[in-house]
Amino acid sequence: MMITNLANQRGVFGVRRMWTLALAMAAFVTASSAMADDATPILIRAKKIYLSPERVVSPGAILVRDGKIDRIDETIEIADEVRVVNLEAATITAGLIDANTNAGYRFGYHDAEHASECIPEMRVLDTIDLESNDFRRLAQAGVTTVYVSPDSASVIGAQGTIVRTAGPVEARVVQETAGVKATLGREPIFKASFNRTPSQFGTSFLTRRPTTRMGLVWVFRKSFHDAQTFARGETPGTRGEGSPSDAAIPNLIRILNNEIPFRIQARSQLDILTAIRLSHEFNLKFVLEEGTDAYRCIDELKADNIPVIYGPIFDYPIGFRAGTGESDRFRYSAPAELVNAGVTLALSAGDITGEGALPMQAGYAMRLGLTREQALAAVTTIPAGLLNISDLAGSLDAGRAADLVVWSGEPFEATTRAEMVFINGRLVSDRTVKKGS
Amino acid sequence: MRWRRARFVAALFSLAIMTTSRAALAQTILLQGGKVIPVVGETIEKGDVLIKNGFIEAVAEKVDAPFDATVVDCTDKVIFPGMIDVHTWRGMDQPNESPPLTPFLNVYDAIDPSQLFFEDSLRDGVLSIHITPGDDTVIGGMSRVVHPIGLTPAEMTTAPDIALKLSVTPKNGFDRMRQMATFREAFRKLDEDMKALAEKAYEDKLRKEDKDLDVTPEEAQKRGLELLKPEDTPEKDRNLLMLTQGRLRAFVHCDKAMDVAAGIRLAKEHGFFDQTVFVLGTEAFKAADALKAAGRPVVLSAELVHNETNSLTGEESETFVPKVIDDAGLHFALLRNWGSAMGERYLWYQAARCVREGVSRDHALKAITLWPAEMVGLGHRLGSLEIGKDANVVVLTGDPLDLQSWVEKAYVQGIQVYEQTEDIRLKRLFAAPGDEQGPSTRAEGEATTEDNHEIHKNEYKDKDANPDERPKRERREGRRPRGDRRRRPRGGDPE
Repeated sequence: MMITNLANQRGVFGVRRMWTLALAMAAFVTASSAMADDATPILIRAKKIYLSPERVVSPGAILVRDGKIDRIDETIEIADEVRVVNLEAATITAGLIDANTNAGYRFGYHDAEHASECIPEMRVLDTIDLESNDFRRLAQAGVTTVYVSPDSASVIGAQGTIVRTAGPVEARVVQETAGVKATLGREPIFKASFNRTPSQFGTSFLTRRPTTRMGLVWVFRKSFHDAQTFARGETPGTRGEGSPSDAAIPNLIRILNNEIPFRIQARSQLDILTAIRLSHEFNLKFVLEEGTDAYRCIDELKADNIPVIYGPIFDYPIGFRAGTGESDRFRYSAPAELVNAGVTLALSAGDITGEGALPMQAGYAMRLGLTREQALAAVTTIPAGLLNISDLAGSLDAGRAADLVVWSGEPFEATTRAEMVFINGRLVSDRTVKKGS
Repeated sequence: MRWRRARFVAALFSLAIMTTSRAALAQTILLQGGKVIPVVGETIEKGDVLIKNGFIEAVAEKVDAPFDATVVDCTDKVIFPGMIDVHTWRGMDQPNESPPLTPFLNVYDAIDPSQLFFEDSLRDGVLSIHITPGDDTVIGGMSRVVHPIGLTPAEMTTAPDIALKLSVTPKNGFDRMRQMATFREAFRKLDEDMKALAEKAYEDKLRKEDKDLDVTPEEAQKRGLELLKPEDTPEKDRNLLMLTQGRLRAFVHCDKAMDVAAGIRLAKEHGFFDQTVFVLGTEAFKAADALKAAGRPVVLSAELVHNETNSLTGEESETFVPKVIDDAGLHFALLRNWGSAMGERYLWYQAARCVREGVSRDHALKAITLWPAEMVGLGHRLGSLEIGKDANVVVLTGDPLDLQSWVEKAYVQGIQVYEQTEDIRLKRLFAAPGDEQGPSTRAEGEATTEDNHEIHKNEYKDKDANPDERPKRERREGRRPRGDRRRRPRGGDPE
């Protein structure tokens, strides 16, 4: 089948190819909408249903009718025509929520903004491809809602957005502006070099960007200082090099007024403490992203009640995490230590969309000391709370749109996979039915 | 850099700790009251394993402890054979020599016992590692099975001279035609050399008997071939000759599906088909029919999922390769994925993924133990808990396919080589901030903080030392560590 396809491609060029593409797309769209029209109610019987990490129904049955959770009970007997799925070993949880992904766009020249250090007026929604395979993979893995975070190339980055990972495109966006991300540490410094021409080493008058943590924090401070000044109705003394643009100012003011949730990505202890210091200076509320060294700042995080979106967890740092040297002091014990100390902790898979996505992160967190309930909370209720979507996702209740995952065994085990995934009332992935039958 | 050095020092320390016990003779050890998963045979829910003189002496529900036995309580633990990594070039200094034909090389000369890789393997329960030359070659060299413990390659060797590495997939700078032509030329040259040697051997024999040459050159070559002993052949040709005579195994790398047919043909033409193991890339599963017909065991690529995007529709298809190979009825071995930051670096996790996608538990466990042992011809020594086999045993805290399981103890040939509570690196990774020693040991009141102090002392010493006072070699390494491929500074290297 695959080989035939490859053989066909070689012969198809130009206009004919375009037509084939269009036809194939049309067929694909028709097929997917036909699947969505399937209105037969579904009754799933499972070993256990986690309504939330604390509330468990066992054994459990759940009836999904017209895209809504009709009933959840220990047993449900039903007279009218329904599709019954009996999975003895299965468990059911709410759809998982990743509060910090980079799904749908790629790091690089065209999808991440490198032109300026302060771009809170830009929206990551404008650069992500909702049809990207990243989302399909996440949905199949059981991750139903994600916060797509902008790239970490700028000191004060673009607006992040909350989207569902599958379903019709028009219903995918949950919240267009769900946060603005600032990045401390080596990453903006390193990535700033992307827009230098190859012949230029270091900085030049054409691309003057911060090259140290001092410079980076100066840009951060200057941006919010100018915004504060404008908010008072005054004009800052100096405007120009290194100042936030006119478009950025209103958005910075909204951050200062806590109208847009603010996030700071920081890995090393140094950067986390800097983030906390800056938040005191400008009276900012923020959520800490990544937080590799957060276990070293537990007292400071607790004093300000700062939640952490921790992760991805790793055995060895690779990629940027290794290159920046900010992950050198990672600890296996960090997630358990943070949770047990009372820090609000959500888990995130970050840029990983395949095998190591959120279910694996939760499983790994369990390997490193969290209980299953703590791990489940860290990928459902807690991120839902941090994203302010607790009424849409993160737990199961009758009357809500079905947003749930049927696991083949206990959730987050290495041998467990997502058998069925419902997103916003639609069955988007079903492995209980074999392909082609 | 500091981290790397710290890890290296930690590796040395743990090696030192672990190898001191090698001085002692293998003891009699009774692993008592654990769940025994022998891979071959039924699982014993609560059973004993007796280790004597480095071999497995008994596996049963109840084994009486001999008077000299050290009894190890394994209640609530799982006793499992040491896992086997059947194809890797980690642990070697450089895996590929640049000439394409190097059957005379041996990985023995490149194994670096101080690599962290071996410590990691021990921690993950991988107790046998088949180190082979890399894929970037035509005929690579001789491989060897080692255990990840020991201070020299000789000490680490489980079994030497296992297989020759061949690659059907073109090496860097080669195309497929040139790759195959190089193979043909190698075997033709071998044939020619052998004939010349044989003819000479026959002539020598006649000369000793004071006879004249009485047959055609062809007949002389044939008769002479029987007179040749392996030590008569030049060292350069010996391994290749043994391969063509079917006396050596071949690990044949086929990255793409199209390489599989070529690999099978090559093995059949030159007489080593029955000794061949195919090492596959992810895409090679498409040749499952040809592989099934061949019936030879295969080593699967560490990335178990093959992704392919249909460029017409943009649709991505995913294939879980082990399922396809398992359905074809072939014996397969799993590898660790070193490109992954987590999980896939563990053999047992790779096996768990297979179970997740529908491969039977029995086959998934065999793919990390017995089948790889058979592929390297050590099925009689490794890969299961059976009486008479090498006592390569791991004690796990839970089921081997459970994400929550850790290796608690490991035994190689009856000698304990790993103890989780003594694992310096793991202690550091679980330590509270400011407490490098780790909470578990403090609770037990052990006063072995020297190791960690030593590490820190070395770190600071190195950092503070005046670079000019350090020996020249160290300074050079300090500027650009081995394996670091950063661009050299402009204006040429000052060295």
